[in-house]
Amino acid sequence: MKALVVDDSRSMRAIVSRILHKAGIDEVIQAGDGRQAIEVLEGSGLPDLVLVDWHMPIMSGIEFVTAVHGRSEWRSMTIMMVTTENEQGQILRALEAGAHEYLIKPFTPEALMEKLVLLGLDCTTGTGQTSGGAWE
Amino acid sequence: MTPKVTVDTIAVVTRDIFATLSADGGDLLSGDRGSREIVSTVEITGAWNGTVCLSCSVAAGRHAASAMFDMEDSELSPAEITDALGELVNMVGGNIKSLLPGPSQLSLPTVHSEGPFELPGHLELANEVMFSWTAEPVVVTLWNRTS
Repeated sequence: MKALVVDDSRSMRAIVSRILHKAGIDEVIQAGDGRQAIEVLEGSGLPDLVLVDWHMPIMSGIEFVTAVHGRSEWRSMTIMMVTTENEQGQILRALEAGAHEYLIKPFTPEALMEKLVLLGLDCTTGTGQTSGGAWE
Repeated sequence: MTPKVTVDTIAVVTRDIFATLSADGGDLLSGDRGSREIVSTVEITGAWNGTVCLSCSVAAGRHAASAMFDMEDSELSPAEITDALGELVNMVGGNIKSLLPGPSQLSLPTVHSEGPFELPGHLELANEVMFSWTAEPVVVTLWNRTS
């Protein structure tokens, strides 16, 4: 399974990537803003999962999600917003724009793992089946 | 003006964030202002306007960066410390924003680590919470824009 982590904070990209690796996702790539993420998608193939921050320079997370949703060939990706933005209206806006899940910072590794299970992502085998206990 | 944002709620928000950093950092305890050389800020604009400020000692900043990047202290660059403090104030500010009247927007964070730092004069201190983390000072302040 392949994941793309999009966040302007290198420390947050490191944290999320570390959790994804521990969860069994073997390939994790990173981008520092929505524009970079678009370039990654155009240049190196689609990941199964994209975790994207909201507040970023150049291209925000909501702009990225909208852009991805506008391209039918990219709709196979699962998108999760991972952000401090927690106003109910903004969460709905992100889901309507095409995000599949929403995780509010700060979060624990267990909370992120629960979201992956909710999305039906089996990180340990890449089969798309749900599984638990990846941390143990 | 900010009935949901008190010293107690700021303390809970900040403690929750630091609790996710690393088990070996321990809990945020009550502290004093101490000597703080790094200041990170994020602005809230909209129905409520002001600034959230997180300041700490270099040692606390290095410890936070070490936990967030999972790197040894000796491996850290100034850029990594700046990034870590920016993300911390982003999380503190975002969670405080949710307690304030909305809708509102959160700015990108700024981090100041060289020389004296002064907030703009049109800001008035609304709340201040002082912590001790790894025996180093960490202070969170909320500033209300007055004009």
